[in-house]
Amino acid sequence: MSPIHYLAEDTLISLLKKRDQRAFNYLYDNYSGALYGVVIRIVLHKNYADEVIQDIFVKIWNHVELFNEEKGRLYTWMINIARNTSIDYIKSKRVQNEQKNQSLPDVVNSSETHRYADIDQMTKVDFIGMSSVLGKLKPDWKRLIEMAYYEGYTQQEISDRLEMPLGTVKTRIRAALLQLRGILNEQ
Amino acid sequence: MDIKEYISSGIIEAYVLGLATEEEVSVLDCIRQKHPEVQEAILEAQLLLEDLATEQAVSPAPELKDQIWAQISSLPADVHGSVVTTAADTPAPADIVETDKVVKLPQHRDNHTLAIAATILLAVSLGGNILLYQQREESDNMLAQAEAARDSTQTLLSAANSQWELLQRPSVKAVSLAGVEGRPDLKAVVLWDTQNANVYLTAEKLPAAPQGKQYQLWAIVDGQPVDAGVLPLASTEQMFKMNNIPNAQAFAITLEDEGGKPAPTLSDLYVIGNI
Repeated sequence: MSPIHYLAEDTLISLLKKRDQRAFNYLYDNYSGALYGVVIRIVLHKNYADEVIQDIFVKIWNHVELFNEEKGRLYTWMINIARNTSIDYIKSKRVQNEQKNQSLPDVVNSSETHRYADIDQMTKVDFIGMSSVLGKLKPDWKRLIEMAYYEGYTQQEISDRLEMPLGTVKTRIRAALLQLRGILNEQ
Repeated sequence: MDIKEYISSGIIEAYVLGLATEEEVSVLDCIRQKHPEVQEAILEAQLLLEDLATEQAVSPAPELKDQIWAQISSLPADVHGSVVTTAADTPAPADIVETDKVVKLPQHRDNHTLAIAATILLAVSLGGNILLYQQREESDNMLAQAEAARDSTQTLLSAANSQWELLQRPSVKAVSLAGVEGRPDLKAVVLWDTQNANVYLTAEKLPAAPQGKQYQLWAIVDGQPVDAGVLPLASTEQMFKMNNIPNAQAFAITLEDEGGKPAPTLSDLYVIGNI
């Protein structure tokens, strides 16, 4: 089978629905990097990320029937699957770790430690050298986007944790994304 | 409704980040159909997240591609995803009042001397009296509580009866309005007679409106909010007759300045429910 270098979205979707390997190749070659970039920023460990990215492609493959072109774009749909799968994964890992740690008397704020805990003795991914567009945001705004996008907190949880009214959380997230748009346009 | 204000409230961003609550999403889904500028703002925000993902891409290890294909191609061909909805949260059980008390009587029994026996009998008798007295006090309290409960139940029952009568009409739909994020305990029910367009509202689970404010009911008709009237400020009634609404997809309640407003203030949305 010859590789395909460009596919219109509707052709791609119909090939996907026919379970054509060329559709997989096209998806993987064009989107795996972007999806993996989302995954690794959420799960933070390469071993985890490798496991999750497999899950994601299996889900895309199996659930393509559920994708509705009228409701949104394929890329957005895949990013949402990647993000949700990663957040679910890291939450279940967190639960497992909490269970492991139950014998320890002093597990305080265990839900907050997932970015810092290193229970599995795995090397965390080194983000140096990775492109970080978020790093160009104001630090407060960067933190908001990290919590909302990569850490899976709800607006209410962000509001509680940062002791900021819910309405302010919403308008600041909006401001942060508007600044992000400006940064991406400059690149 | 002020669409610019709605867009700048941050709702679009919350939606594309997957942070919007179910209620917010259902409002947004109504509004986006009628307002291309909302639709466009959603698309723009999604494109932004796509661009962010593209810009922050990280290549996975090369061997993963073959592994994933091997996994995918070994799946049975008829495996298709199905949407699984999570069961709604089960309501919390009502608090159970503890009333049973087990009292252990002293077990000392000594036949050595009559004096000791008499002392013990006296003690037991005293203890028994105190116990009986306490039990009687407790029974009196419980009786008073039960009477109070009965009175309030009767009031509720008569209110429930009139609502029930309405509900029994085949043309009446009950629309349950649930609290939006941050106000999960709030609740209201709209009874809507689709035949004569009468709308009734029960809203016992809304907090008292602050000074100078008043609750206002809205019907969402083809994505547009239509004023369905304000709730009376002081009333002992359980159910209010609102403006007639011939057609609607959802009902919502906002808190507005006294007298109501021609368009809802979405940031003060309290409860909403789809039909």
